[in-house]
Amino acid sequence: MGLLKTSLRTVKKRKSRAALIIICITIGVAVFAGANVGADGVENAYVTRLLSTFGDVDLTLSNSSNPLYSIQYNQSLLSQLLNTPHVEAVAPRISTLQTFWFNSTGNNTLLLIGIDNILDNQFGSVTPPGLVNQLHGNNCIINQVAAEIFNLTSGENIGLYSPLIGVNETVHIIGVGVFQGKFSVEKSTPIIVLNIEFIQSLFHLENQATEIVLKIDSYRNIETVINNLRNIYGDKFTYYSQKLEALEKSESNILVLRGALNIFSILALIVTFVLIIVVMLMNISERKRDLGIMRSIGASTRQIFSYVIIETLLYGLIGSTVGTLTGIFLSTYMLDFLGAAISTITTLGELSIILNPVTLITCFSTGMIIVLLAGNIPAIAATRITILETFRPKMKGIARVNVLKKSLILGVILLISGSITLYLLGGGMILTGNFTPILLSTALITAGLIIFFSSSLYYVSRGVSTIFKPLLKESKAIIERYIARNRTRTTFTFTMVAIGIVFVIFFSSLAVTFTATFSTVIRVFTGSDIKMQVNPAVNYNFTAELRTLPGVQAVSPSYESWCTITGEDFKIALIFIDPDSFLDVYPRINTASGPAIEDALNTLKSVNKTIILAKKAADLLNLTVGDTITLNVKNINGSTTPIDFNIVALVEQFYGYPQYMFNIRAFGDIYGAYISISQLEDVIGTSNVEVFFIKLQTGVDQIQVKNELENILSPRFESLTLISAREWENQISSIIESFSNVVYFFVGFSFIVAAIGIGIIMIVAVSERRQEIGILKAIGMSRKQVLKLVVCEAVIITVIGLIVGIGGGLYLWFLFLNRIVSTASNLFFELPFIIPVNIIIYMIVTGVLIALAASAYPAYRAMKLEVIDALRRE
Amino acid sequence: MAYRLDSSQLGLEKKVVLETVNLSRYYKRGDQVIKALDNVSVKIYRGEPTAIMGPSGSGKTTFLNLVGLLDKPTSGSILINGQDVTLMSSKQIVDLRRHTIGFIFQFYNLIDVLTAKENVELPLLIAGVKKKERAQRTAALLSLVGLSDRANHLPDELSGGEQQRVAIARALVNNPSLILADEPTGDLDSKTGRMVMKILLDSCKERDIGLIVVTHDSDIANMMDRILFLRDGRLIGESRPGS
Repeated sequence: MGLLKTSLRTVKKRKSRAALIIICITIGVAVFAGANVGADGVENAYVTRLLSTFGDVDLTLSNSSNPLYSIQYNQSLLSQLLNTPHVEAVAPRISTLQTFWFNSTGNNTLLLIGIDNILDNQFGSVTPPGLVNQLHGNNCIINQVAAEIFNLTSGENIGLYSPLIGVNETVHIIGVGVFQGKFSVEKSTPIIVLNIEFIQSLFHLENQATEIVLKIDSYRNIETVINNLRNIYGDKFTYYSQKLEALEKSESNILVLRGALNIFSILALIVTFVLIIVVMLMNISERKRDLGIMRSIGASTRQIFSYVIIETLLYGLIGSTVGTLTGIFLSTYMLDFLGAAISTITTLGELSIILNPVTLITCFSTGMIIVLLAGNIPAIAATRITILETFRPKMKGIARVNVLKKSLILGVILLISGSITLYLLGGGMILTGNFTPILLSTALITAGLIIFFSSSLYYVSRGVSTIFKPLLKESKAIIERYIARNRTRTTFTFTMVAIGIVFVIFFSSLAVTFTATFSTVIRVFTGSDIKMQVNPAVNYNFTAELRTLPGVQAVSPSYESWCTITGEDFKIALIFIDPDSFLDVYPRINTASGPAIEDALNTLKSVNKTIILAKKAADLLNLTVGDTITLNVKNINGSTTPIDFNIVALVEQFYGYPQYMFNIRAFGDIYGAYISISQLEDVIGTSNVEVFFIKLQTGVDQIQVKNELENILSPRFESLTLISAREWENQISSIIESFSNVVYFFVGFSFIVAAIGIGIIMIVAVSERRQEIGILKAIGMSRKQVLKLVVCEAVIITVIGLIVGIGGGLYLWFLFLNRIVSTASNLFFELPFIIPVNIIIYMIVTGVLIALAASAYPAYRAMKLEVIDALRRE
Repeated sequence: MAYRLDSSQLGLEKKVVLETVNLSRYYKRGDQVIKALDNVSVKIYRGEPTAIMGPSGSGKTTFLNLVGLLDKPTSGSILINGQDVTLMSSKQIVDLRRHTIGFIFQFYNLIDVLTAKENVELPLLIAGVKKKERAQRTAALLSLVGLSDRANHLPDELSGGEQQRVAIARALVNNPSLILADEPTGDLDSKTGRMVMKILLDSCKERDIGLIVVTHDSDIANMMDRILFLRDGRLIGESRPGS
């Protein structure tokens, strides 16, 4: 225990170093714990919401080897099951689909469930409450669905009729019940509930049940219970848990969620790992003499190793404990903040802190493992100290390498492979929603940039310091060489700054670009300001009435009909439009070939059987303006007639019909063609349409007008749907906003970690360069100049991080955008490459402020350093 | 300005570059007061290299630190070029270090990330000298110490003797009136040590610079014009090897 005592003394003596390491560990563990405790809260809310649809039944035992699925049971089996750990309640049930005789037919199918009045009380609830107690003999309760579908009421008698098993019995409905959390069946299933004993005697199934349902204390233990029961009963039962199945299905969602919350916390742990090494190495180098003396008086390398490791673990113990506790507090704020953001995207409900002991232990032990792993490096370094070296100063060797060629090549390879990944797979992602390629290429490109900059750090730092030349003056040469010389440390520091920024820039570019193109993008979907869908269909002349409604400027009716082309495997959707109001209602489109849109629309109006065809379809068919196309048109009666249409013009835009605009395979291979609505009767055999596109007057409140239209029109139709472009815009901007908030939140985290990292790295740098600072002062450097030296180094490293982060983020966004545009090749709106200037300025200002704040203390220490102390050799 | 005639160099005027009057530096260690330097009064002249010798703990380094303005005296005064530096502000002291005093250390103390040329140029950069003049003066000094061909090497790539010559060039580059050298040959073999000392002595004499060399090595001390002996913080004698 001598070593522990010595370590404790060292900690006591070198308080500031100890504090520094403990702070590093605390922060890393706190961020990690915060994210994980927070993730527990979010996961819990998610799982609670997911499982809330399944009621109280956690596990169902049945017997699939038996044709009737029946299980022979008695009191002792039920007690045995109840005594299994984690099981809270057990009840036998008979559940079977049966036909009933009422409303003059025997074809009514309901789900018959026989329950044990007492045992089943533990599962969910029934309203009114007293109803179940009266469930004896042929009394039965039906659910509301059954009452509504079959028009059944309390007091009625119905026939339970099953010729197959020879049952023909009258049952008496004693009430319509609401079953909550009792049966996990589809909401639309009609249910009839009877006493299980009555069913058993009726079906000759004495002491048998089709299933035994179990309630388990937590969804986490369902698996354990199944394993326990399987050990006892083997294959006697078939085990089924709807909850477990749903959880397994959503497992990947939960993983993604935890992963997202953990990205930055893992970053924090990496930072902690490196900082522990850096600070401990500094610590060791400062104590070289002590260690040398220990060696010279007989300490073995093993003892030196243990001495350093024990000391590091002491720091780890304090840091991990404080960190875990801080993390819990941190997660409360995180959930408050995230809760607001997440609730706009999904409906998770209230988020609360869940203190899962497993998570807390994981966080604490993760901290300790990191400390142990990181502690090895300084401990090994300590064992390598030779006795001689401690008593004789040695000049540190510097690698005079301006460019690390191999690393540079590696960086370029990573950059290229990241770009190719995004280029090849990025497009598919838009269709499939699989975001792995973008994550992969983000990682590759960021790593590539970091390695590239790191390997050419000499030129990078020279370039960046040139920007600050007027400010740096005498320090320029020293700073740029310090930066290049400490390659690993500099790389680590600028990486901390860069990673958060890559995310911010990518997402803010996304937000800026989509915000700028919102109105056009959304009008691809809504066609105009409002898309109205009615049922039943109404004569297209209804437009005249619609035009008189408040706020409405123009209305165009629309009808679409899919036509096949003989010998082709794609279809043409004939879209009937009103040529008169077309240009007033939709955003302006231009013909890709043929006369101007105005003239083309005039021809549609005046000449029968003329169409404006999708350019893609014309290309596929080798047709052009003036040619004739034969479409197999389906009449309203169901008959199909081939009709020849003359092509007036070709277009690429079909507002209101995104499926014909994007031609994404998932929507089916269909191309659009405009035709005048005046021919609807002629071609299709009806004058009724279901869709109207409405353009509103300028300056009106779209949402208000939409609500007014809804009020006026809804009594007229069975169903009425109004989709407002503005409402979409608002929804999407609020989603983007909350998404950005989440991103900013994590980036804020990573900035704090970066600030602390820079601070600690600069403290270490100043401590290592005591002597050099002493020399500089001895040859005439003023305190102000020394202060500048330290601060500017931190600023320049941060600027390198900003360049990597901003450059990487913009490059990624550029590639991604390029992919979106070329994948959806029929994207008829511009998706311009907009640089989020505001955000970039914020990032630069924040970055520089962080560098200034973080380097203030180390710079102050350097400034205060007395020459005589700095030059004194220990 | 104080002038005095020296018997050994009759007819030549010698300028006092440094004068200490009753210079003392006491430290407290526990209850004990340690007199590291006790009432030392001495005059150092331009162009007259002076060695300070004495056993360990005699106050040699303390003396050098005080006159180099790295430490503050407990009592007494230091006059550099006739000005009392103990009354100076920290800004004036920085100015004095830039323009009047040059340091040479035992372990060369070059900035190891800078090349030989950049190390020599550094004091000029700090003092804000124009680029053209910096280049001229740096080149001239590197040639003086015979290192023109090693100008672009990093300290790590230079031998001990070469490093110390760079340090000499750095100390001389600002045209100081006083150079303070603390065991400048302590880390060199005797042959290299003598070679380096010769360059230092010649440059100081040629430029009429005051030079104080603290050394243990009597051979090195005997290369000087004058030797001061310190013991227990007191000046106990002086000799002139040449006479």
